[in-house]
Amino acid sequence: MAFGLTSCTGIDCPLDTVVVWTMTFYDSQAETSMNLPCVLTVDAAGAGTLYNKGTAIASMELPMSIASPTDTLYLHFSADDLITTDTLYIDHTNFAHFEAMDCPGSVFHNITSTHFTTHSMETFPVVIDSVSIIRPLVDYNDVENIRLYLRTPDSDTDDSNRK
Amino acid sequence: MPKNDSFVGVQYQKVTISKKAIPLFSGYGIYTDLAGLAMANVAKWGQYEVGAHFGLKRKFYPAVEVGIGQSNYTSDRTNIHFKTHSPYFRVGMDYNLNKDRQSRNRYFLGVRYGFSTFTYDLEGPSVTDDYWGQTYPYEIDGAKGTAHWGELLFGIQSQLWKFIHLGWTVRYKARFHESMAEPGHVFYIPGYGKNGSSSSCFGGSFNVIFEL
Repeated sequence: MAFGLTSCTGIDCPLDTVVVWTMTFYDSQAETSMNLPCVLTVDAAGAGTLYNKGTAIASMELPMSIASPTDTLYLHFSADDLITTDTLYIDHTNFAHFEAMDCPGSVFHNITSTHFTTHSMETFPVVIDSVSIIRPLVDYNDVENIRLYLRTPDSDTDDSNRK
Repeated sequence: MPKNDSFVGVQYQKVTISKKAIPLFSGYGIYTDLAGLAMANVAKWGQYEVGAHFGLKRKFYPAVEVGIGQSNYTSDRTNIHFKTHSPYFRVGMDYNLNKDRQSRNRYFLGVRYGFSTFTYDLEGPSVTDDYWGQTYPYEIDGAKGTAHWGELLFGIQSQLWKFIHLGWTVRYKARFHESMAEPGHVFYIPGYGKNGSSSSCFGGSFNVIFEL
């Protein structure tokens, strides 16, 4: 039963319909948040550069592909004359999201798994140790989705000191 | 002579005004919501609803309401199209506030518990992504959801002619639970009304009642 006097909701549409996911950087040994000790550029297969030359940052926000089941990201680590590239694969599902009739449609995601390539410490002194999915759902909330654990010479030293 | 002679022979009679006894089962009625019917044909959403109630001492009126809620609406702004045609149920009771229980007219407070299990379709322009150069078809067929809600209502019912009554209600609705399909909050819940992130709304009805 409903007259025209319904006044249920006053929905504000999101300012930006692009959904991004957040990757944070953690020290693999101390398991604490860290700022990048080098320069990181992220390219994506099929999309070009998603993030250019991030330095001393603790996190980065990246757009997720809306039609592919896997995002293939090339992580270019560089410092001084050294450069190396690792690949991070993000497997995810995509689904249409409805906010309100007067808001444009968008696509949300669920991260299902990740895997990655890595390199030796001798090649470049920042190494991907592991990757954790913190929040699989990628929506309008700009919160941590993936945690990238990095190993550096400092953390290795800390580790040997502990031993 | 006794002092009160003048009262001798006067008899007092106790007079009681008897009220007609009201039986426990004091009538029953069926009704339909004309406002919902009109809205179903001209507005963004509406419903085809019938209800039944019966009186207990003309004080309490247990009620059951069933209906089909429907919406077939396209937003001019986004071109998103929403479509549903699903049932809902309500059960509850009204309390007659009219002290004159002999009257066929009454005003009342009531409560309802509502439930709906529904399916819906959603369709709109494809989503495009400039970063990846991709498009995603915005089309969902047969998404399923359920909802539970409660209602507090105030209403009036007046006898129009013999067994035909007219009445209206104003209802405050609070959603208790909504199981959402993947797209998120549904635009319209049958029997509840326009839905969204807020968990309450107002609604109403304009009823024609056949009551004996």
